[in-house]
Amino acid sequence: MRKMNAVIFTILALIFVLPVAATVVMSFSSEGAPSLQGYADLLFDCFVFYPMFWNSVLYAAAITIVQLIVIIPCAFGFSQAKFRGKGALFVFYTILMMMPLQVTILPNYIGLRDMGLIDHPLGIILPMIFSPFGVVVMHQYMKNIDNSVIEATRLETNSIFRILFISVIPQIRVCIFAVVLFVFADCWNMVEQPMLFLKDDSLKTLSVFITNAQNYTGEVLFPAAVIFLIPMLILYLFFNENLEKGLTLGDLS
Amino acid sequence: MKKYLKWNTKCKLCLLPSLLGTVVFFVVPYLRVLYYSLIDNQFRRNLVWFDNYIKTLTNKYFLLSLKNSLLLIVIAVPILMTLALVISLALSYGIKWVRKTRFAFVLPMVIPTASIVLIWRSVFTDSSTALPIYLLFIWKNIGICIVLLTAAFTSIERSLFEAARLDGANSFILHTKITLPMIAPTVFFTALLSIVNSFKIFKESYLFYGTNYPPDHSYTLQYYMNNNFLKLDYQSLATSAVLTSILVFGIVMAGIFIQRRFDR
Amino acid sequence: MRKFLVCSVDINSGEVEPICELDELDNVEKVGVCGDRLYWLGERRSETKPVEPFTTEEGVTIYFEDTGKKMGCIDLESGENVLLDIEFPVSFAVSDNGVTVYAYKSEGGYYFADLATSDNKRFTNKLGSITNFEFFKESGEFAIVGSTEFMGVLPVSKADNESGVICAVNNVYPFFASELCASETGYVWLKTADSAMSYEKRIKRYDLRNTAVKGNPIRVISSQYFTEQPFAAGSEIQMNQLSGEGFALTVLSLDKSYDAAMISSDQGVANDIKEKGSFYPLNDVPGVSEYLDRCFPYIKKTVTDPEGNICMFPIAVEIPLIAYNEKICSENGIVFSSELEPFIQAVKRASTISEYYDCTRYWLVQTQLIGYLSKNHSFDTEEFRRLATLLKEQCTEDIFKGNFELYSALMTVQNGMDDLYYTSIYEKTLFTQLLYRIQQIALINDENLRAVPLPLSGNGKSVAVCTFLCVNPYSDRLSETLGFIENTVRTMSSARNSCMLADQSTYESTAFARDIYSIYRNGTIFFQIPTEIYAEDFERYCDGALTLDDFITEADRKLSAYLNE
Repeated sequence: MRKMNAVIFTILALIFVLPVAATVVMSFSSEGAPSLQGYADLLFDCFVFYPMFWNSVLYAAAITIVQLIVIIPCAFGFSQAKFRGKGALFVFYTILMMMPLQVTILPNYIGLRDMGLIDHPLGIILPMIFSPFGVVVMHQYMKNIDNSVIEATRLETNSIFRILFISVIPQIRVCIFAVVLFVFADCWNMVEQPMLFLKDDSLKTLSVFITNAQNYTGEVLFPAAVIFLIPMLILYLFFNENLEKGLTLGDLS
Repeated sequence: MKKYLKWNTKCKLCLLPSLLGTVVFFVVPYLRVLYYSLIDNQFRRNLVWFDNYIKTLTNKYFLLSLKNSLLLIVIAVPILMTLALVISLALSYGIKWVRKTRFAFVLPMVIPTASIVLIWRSVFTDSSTALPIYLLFIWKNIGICIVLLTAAFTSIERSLFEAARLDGANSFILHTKITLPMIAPTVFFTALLSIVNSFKIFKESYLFYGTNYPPDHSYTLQYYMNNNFLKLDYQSLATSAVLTSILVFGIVMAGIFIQRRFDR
Repeated sequence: MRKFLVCSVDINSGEVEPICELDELDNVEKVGVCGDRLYWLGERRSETKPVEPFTTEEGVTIYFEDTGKKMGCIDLESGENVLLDIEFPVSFAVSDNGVTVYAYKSEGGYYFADLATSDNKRFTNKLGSITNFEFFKESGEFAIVGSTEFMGVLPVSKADNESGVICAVNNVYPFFASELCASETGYVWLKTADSAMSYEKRIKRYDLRNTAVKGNPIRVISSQYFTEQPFAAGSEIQMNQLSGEGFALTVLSLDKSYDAAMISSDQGVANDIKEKGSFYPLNDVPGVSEYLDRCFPYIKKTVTDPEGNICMFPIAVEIPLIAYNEKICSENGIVFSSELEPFIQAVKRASTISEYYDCTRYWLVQTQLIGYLSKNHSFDTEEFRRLATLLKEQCTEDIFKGNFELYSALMTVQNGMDDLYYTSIYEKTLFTQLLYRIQQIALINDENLRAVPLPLSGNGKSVAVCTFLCVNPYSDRLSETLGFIENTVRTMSSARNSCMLADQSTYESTAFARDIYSIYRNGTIFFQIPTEIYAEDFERYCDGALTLDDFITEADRKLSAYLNE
């Protein structure tokens, strides 16, 4: 068993790491020979890179944090509140989550334009905060919380905030980390919205930079891709410990 | 009694911010799309009801794109799930390795599209089948599936496992009677996630083929929608969007239905 | 130092009557009469003074060089000359309200002042050191020439003394322009050279009537780069180039923030715009219908949709052609034809004679493929196979190449410039490709040239590329935009050599001009299929990387998808 395990593991790891390793390797080569030229071009000559990088970080962080504030009570409400149509509402969220981007881009654009949020960071941040994805994922985890703890806390206080803080969040800590990871990855990788909703180049994100990498002088695609990877990896490493402590999901319905 | 009601109301209020935001940023746009699918022209705004739907449903290329998108879901997602399940199962026996390698599995998800497509293009030069795209989809998503599934596996109470084994159950029964039902919810959720991601693979496919008109086998719904968008034909786009959402609704409903039966 | 004699001349009798003598002047730049006084502006170079530069509020430093200009006033009754006490005058203009002077003051920069109330100085440093200005409207608007602020970019403009230059007119670049004459009805005459390469000056008239509201440009969006802007027709144009998706998003979202879209018939989206009727119908804009009726019939047919609405307004038409030197070509036995095969033979013959010809492979292939696609919806025909094989085998880069000196040579001779090198090239030039209307019109007066179109497609017509303007019905400045269209139509109606008007008398009378006219008359506008469907694959076929059958299958597949989606 162990041996088979080891074989599978090595093959798997190779398949997964290979393209990433290839990216890293290619970032350090320029025209066939190893060199730091790509990084030099990127870090010293490409002035748009820095604001775009920080925009990526800013937007993703803002979206993730605010989204947590919104969806934790929401998922909690879903699991605790009793009202008719709760199931239907949830199915509704699920369907919205699955809408492909091409469908929503024009109406989103019109909506944002009417609100005056085109070419403004909020135009990117606000819609993503309310993405149904987070609610659906969080709800799955929320189903497994121990109600007895909630009841106990309710005896002491009626404030939702305190109940959440004291009894709910500690239980779903792992889930929060998972959601943070998923949501951050989603925002980190988004390309269409910054490209179409933001007109000013200095407001755009790193993902847009990489997609348009051929417009910049020098071999900046791969070095930029490597730098693009790093924050995600850091985030993942940070949460890795906690994630493995157990991720379980409840019923779909 | 009063306290109970207040509690319920409070819980309902918790839903409010999310609901509000969702309505503004997702529901209203969807209703707009619905409206646009019922008119003839962005500018003249004459209601033509279902004329557009008939036009779209009889359009050869819409049907082709629908077929390709469905094929992707029906073929690639099960393969993805089976692969992920098998690997998770195998790996869950050697827990130590899993811990160390989880890292590697998330990598495909975080790598930016542009760079991975470059590499993919140099590896897969033959574009006579949709295989490169299917493989790219599986490669990108298997990591998350494995992470979620192995977590589900490891959470199954070991004691339950041991008890069953002591009772003389062999591997097969163990798996079908205990493991599978207990991880079923996770499996469904992961399948749903994969279907959502199958729509997102458009970006990679577009960069891979480099054109608005890929080979027929890779021409998915998003290509149809994107091309019509660029042609300023928003009506075709809107109708195909509504039809897609009906399809999605069907899939979700089917999933729930299957899960309810499974639960019994 | 010289002496100048100011006289009055009776135009009818020719009698000259001296009025006054001006001496101690090096130069008299300008004279103007107001009431019974004659004002003059001259130079006394010996009296230059050092001038302190002035720094504006925004931190811009203005350096003024004193060339000893002086202004004076002659009383026409008495003949008495009085020097005016204006330090550093730059220019002046006469209007019904008196004389306005533009001068420099080292403590303030440039300013306008009315002589009668010379204390009222209106400072403006946005116009810089202009050469000349004239009033052309009762409202007090004036045209300026030679502003250093806008060197080479907006040299002739309607200007406002407070905000500076408002707009440019008609894409004109008056090279070496100095003398300016204006009428109150809104016309301005300028003595200017035709191009930067020419020294010969001509007097040209510009129409500045009904110029637009100052500072509010017409916002035009496009999804490709246009080198030629639409006629300003007195308005300022602000071009904004967007990506394909951005353009679609802006149009489909009924955005208010743009006024017009500029589209070329070689963009894929042009066809869809016509079919969708997405833009404002221009039938009721005064002059549009009449103008289109005066154009070649195919132009009007193209822009009119099945319901009779004209939503796309054509502002330019272009057909690439070959301009050949009749004598030299007939001496060498080069005969052009509208069929592809004889045309190829002609070019091949030229290649054996000398290198003084220009016909690039790229354009030939382009025009042939586009011509084919203008009538066919599939590549799978005998005709195409023949065409493709011909293009691949016979149109090779070594024969079909460009020689970029030829056009310069033609322009040099046309402008009467004395350049031995280019003149000798001109005398050997067999033929050259002229792709753009501007190039064709620039050479239209050449007596030695004749024109012939690139080989015609099967329906016997040359495919023209047409640029359109479409007005956004949701623009928040719709009426101004419609006014702009009206002005544009008026400008274009009186244009010479427009290549759109069917009236042959508006063209020059050289044989070359007649050829050009008949080429444009025999044109057709075709909304082209996006090149991504066939261009790259066709090149691969010509390189041998793809077989003809494979190309046909691939291209037909994409074409079918494009047409039927």
